[in-house]
Amino acid sequence: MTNPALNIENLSVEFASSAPRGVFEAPSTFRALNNITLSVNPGEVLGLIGESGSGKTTLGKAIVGLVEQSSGSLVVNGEALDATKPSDRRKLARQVQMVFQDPYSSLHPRKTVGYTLAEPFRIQKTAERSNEMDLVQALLERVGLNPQHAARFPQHFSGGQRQRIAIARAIANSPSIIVADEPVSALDVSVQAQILNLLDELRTQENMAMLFISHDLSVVRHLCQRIAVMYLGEIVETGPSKALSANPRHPYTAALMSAVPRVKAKNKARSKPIVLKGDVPSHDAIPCGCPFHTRCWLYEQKGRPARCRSEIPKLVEQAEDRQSACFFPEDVAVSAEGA
Amino acid sequence: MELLRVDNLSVSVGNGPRSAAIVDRLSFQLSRGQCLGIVGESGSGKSTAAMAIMGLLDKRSLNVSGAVEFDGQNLLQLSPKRLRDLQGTEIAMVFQDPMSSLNPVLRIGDQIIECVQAHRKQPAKEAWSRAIEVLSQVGMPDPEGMLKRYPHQLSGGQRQRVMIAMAIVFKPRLLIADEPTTALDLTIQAQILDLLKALSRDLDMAVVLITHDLGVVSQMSDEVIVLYSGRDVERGPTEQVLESPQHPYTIGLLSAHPSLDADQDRLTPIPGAPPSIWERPSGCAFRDRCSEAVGNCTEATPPQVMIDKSDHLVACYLRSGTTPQRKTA
Ligand SMILES: Nc1ncnc2c1ncn2[C@@H]1O[C@H](COP(=O)(O)OP(=O)(O)OP(=O)(O)O)[C@@H](O)[C@H]1O
Ligand SMILES: Nc1ncnc2c1ncn2[C@@H]1O[C@H](COP(=O)(O)OP(=O)(O)O)[C@@H](O)[C@H]1O
Ligand code: SF4
Ligand code: SF4
Ligand SMILES: [Mg+2]
Ligand SMILES: [Mg+2]
Repeated sequence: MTNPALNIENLSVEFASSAPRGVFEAPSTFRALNNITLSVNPGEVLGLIGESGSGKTTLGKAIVGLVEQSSGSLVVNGEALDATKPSDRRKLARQVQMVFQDPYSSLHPRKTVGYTLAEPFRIQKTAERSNEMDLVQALLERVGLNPQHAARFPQHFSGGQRQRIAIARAIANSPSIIVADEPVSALDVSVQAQILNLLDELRTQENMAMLFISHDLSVVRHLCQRIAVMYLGEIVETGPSKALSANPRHPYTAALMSAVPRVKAKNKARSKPIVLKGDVPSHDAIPCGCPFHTRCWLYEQKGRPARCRSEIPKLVEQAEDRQSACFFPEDVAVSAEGA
Repeated sequence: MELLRVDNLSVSVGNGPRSAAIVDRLSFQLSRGQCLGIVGESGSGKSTAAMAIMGLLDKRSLNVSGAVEFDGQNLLQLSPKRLRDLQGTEIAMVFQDPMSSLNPVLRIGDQIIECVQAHRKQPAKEAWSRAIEVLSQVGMPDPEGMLKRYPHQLSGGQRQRVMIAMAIVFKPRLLIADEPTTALDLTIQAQILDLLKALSRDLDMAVVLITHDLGVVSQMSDEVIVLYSGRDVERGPTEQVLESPQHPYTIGLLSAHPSLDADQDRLTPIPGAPPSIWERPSGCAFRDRCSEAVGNCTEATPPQVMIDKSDHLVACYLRSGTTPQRKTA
């Protein structure tokens, strides 16, 4: 069996809390990520969804070593790496690459695109100087840009083209995995599809693994083979994308799916969206028991079972390669109809 | 009953040959209680059109022409004082980014009261209870507590509720919402869309909803206008337009975005990117991205034609069956 491209176990990240505190209290921290375990195989795109503040970007940054993990392990392509060790940092940079949301701020405005794309080869010493230009041109071609444009500066490129350049830079040294944080969110719909097709090609033709962060569930379902759903710094559900979107096993996933504004299909009545009450609680005041119970429609529907308030549901393996952190996974899809 | 009539509204920047249209001859009507969706990509002129209708554009730097008739009076010709009276009372607006429209150093309560008293002399106490009333109307938990908070102590969704609360203080007859949910999470977006629907029903308020999301349009609006490069390329009853789109751009938009309910192997993108106002091609502005363009598409802007003698209109030569006139100028 081949190694997973990425395997993380019980990864947690803590940040200093901004909540007001008394003069004599020690500075408090909160867990932005709590015991995250997941793996991504070569040739697989794992989609990460969840509301703002749920910890998606923090997880991405922890994987590339941009934020420090307080505990947990990170294994890339079979090799355990520790971002706090300088020797591992370099390997990490080679093996894990990140693509960010904003294509306007992620490229250096005063460096030519050719220079930006040659940098990964220089840093990792993976190419001879004489060979660099050929590699850069091949990269540009690979992401659908004109190889002759290497001498141009970023401002000559549109948002979509800049995102292609950012992707080219990320794949320069054939990393084990790419972490893409909302890579198409800043792009117009008509341009998004171009980038999504490119990412899908990289996966099918080059067996690329990717963690794809997005708040657009239709995009995630289309591009990703598997989906992980986050709520308040934890993963609450995972599974194959089609099955998870059609038959969620966590009420939060069901609510997310039903909140997607759809273009109404012909002669089809619109099913009523499940509207969740209120906002996501703050990290400083995570509810007792199931962290979702303050907004959970299934909890209400079931007459507020005491267990949901007293016991923390664990992410439990289920049939068909699925996991859910709800006590009643089987009831979600059925009950969502009438919610 | 017709409440708003926009007639050949154009906004351009610059003079003579060095000028470019941001909004190009936009026309529509809207009745009370109705919702009109305006969809388009960034730069298509949605916000400019909204600001023009509100009378909020700076006429020293932009040329505004056409007519915006609200309840029989042309807003483009109203005195500044009369216009200010209408803005915020009869016509209100909600923007995409609630944080930049709220004053960060003023408590929510003071901002709502300021907004109440700007238009009507009212004792602070009455204004305060009106503030509590509108906050509960927009579904804010603990309205009294909220009044004492500062904007940064609210979530994005709560801030947008405050903005909507301020917009409806005087029960406006027209609400213009410019991407009101674009910055919000899905679940919060669902709450805000629900709220806008309920308010429109309860106050019999007309809504112009600007968005780039065809799903939101499908869910909310009775009629839809598709804007491309400042031009209204397709319009009509929402269901009809989305079910049988006629303009290659509308068709392209619908197939460029994956569906949550159907599988697609590969997406069909629209090639290229929307042009800036200075780089629009002659003739049909969509032609260098259009796979169906024919020779005559370069000649002149395609006229709007009716589809099956209905309210469904489209501006594309493929549907009009006519050949374009040569430009005379
Ligand atoms: N450097 C930091 N210091 C303190 N708190 C932080 C820091 N970075 C993130 N956080 C907090 O950690 C939580 C998770 O943030 P994160 O950016 O990962 O969310 P996200 O899921 O990516 O949200 P979004 O969808 O808005 O991008 C939030 O409560 C955020 O405020
Ligand atoms: N005051 C202005 N001067 C010059 N160009 C402008 C001005 N306001 C808007 N534009 C341009 O007009 C186009 C439409 O802008 P806007 O109405 O904000 O579009 P949208 O809201 O659809 O994204 C953009 O290309 C923008 O840069
Ligand atoms: S465990 Fe209870 S509160 Fe938590 S998601 Fe399941 S039903 Fe809802
Ligand atoms: S007028 Fe011509 S270029 Fe424009 S959308 Fe129709 S076919 Fe395409
Ligand atoms: Mg993020
Ligand atoms: Mg805008």
